[in-house]
Amino acid sequence: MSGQQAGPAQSAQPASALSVRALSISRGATALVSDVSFDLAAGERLAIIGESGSGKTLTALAAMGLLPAGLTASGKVEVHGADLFALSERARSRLRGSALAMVFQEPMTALNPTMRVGRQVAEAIRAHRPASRAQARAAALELLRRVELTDPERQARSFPHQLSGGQRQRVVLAMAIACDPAVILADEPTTALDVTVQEQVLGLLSRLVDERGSALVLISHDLAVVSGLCDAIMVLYGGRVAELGPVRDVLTAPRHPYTAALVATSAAVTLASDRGAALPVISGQVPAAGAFPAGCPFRNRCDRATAECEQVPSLAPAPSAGPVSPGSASAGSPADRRAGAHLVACFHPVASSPSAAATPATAAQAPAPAVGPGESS
Amino acid sequence: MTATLTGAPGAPGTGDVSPEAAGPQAGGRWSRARRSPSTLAGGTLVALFAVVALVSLAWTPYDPLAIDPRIALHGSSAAHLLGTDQYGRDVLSRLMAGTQVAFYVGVIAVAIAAGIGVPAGLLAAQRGGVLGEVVMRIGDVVYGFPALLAAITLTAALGASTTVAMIAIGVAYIPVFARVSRASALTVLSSGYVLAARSYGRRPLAITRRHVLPNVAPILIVQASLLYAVAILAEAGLEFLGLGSPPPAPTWGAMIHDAQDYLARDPMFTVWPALVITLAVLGFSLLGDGLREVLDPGLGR
Repeated sequence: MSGQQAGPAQSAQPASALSVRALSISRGATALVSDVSFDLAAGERLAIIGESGSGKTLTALAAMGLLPAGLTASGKVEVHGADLFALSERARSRLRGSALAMVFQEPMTALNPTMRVGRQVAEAIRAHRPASRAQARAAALELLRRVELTDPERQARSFPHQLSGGQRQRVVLAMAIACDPAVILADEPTTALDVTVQEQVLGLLSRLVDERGSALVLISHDLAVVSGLCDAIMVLYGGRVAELGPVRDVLTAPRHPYTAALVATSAAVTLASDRGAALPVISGQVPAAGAFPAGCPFRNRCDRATAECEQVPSLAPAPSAGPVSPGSASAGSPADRRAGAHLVACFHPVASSPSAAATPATAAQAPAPAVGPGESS
Repeated sequence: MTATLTGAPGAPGTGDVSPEAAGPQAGGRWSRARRSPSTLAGGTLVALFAVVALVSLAWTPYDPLAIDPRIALHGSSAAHLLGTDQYGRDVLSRLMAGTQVAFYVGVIAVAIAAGIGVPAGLLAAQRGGVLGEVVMRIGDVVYGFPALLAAITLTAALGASTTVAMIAIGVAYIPVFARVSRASALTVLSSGYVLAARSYGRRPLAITRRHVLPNVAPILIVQASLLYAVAILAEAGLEFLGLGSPPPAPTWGAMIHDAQDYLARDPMFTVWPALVITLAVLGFSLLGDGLREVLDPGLGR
């Protein structure tokens, strides 16, 4: 797992808890994720939005160093300044759980069906802390209490199949926070849950992250879920970053046609249901992984696409008006991202809507574009 | 945070109530085991043999080795329920004592086959790649060599001995255990909870011990039971050929060997040990098949 694309000498500042630089993931010749970069400071919350196959989960797994066999990653992932891909597997496993942890989408499969819940949580504790069985059991109970499981003493003795979906996800949360990770990667943590339970679990996740000042990466396909929880949004489409920026800017003034369509569809759900009107849809279908068009991956579904879009648009500060000339701007520097810049990868971005007056101010502040990482493949 | 939560975080954990208040999974397995006819029949037979083996350690109607030419080749009688053999030894006592040997051979064979095969299979599953391939191909080579032939060769070379024969049987079954444990370990290793265990920092050895092995164990128990049946049959065959424990040790195979000379005079001398071997093999096979139904997650759930 070497072959890092030497970025333009942007060694991430030690301040960032998690730094992903020009991450590309491929299966053989098929690129699944291309050139994804983001930084996460302590306490920061980033949402990764995208549909199935957009590379959200792969990005998270790569950040954990847990890509499935057969997939190769290039680029750089730094956890507290340590280059994850350069570390030995042993050193990486020391970081997992203690520096960064993951919450999985499907709590039923993330729990061992043959092991009592309390013991599984104790297992997560003992992965990093030398604790006796009794100490680990006590610590596990404490964790189950912290994730607000009702009657933790009794539930600790249950098997996963005896718990409800919400209870199971609380247990998975307990395992994720068992060793106080600085970064929590939550991969659609509530997708498998009822709507009412979803809100409880999200609230809990938010409180747990707050208590420790951990950074959070929340992966979702649901704009409503992330809008209340996160500071920044990264929209992935076809394994590329389509848009990245502060939640408010991206949701109120989306610049990428895909993001704009996403926001429109999700906003329309509430409105249309009142009137019985047809819901807006994004035309076309999501291609299979690796079958995205060359250039801008969205161009075959995009009504703004031109011949220019056969080139890969680089992620650049969203212009206040007018199109970006191709190749003139490039990936924003980490400084851009820190400053809360609004970046978009599109040759023909959607004009900032008049209703969103806040956007241009933010975009205008964006510093001069730095030289970005080279386009992969 | 710039905005409030999407929804008010409800009262903790109130909405989610346990859908089931049933006992642990083991309870379900136990009741399923009791409903499975082959598990019940096989289990009863095996238990019966185990009791007989234990009892024979302390007590048999007569000394299985005591010779009394005056009563040689008597049929069934009140004093000797199953009659006496050509040296006047009590057949029932010898059959009972033979049960010990049958259990002993199973233990040796299973210990060797599982003791080497399971770690090899788990290693092959965990490491994969070239090492895994090499391990499994070595297994194929071993498997290609007939077990009974290996046992005969070994005992011929090293002298007649039940232990040597059973080591040969055990070695021959190492690949079976390696394959079964590798295949089921691969399933477990690709599961979400192993990924979760890795995500909180567990190392491969700990994952194998705490997640893989407990989940593979039921299938290994099934294999062990089936191997027991094979071992008993193989041992009887070797004894029959005179390649097991040397006389006068009471073993079922040797008893059939002795009895064949008197087949015309009284076929029952052959029938008794043959019946006992059949029942023992049947018992372990039924138990193995039954447990497969009960324990194998692939079939049951």
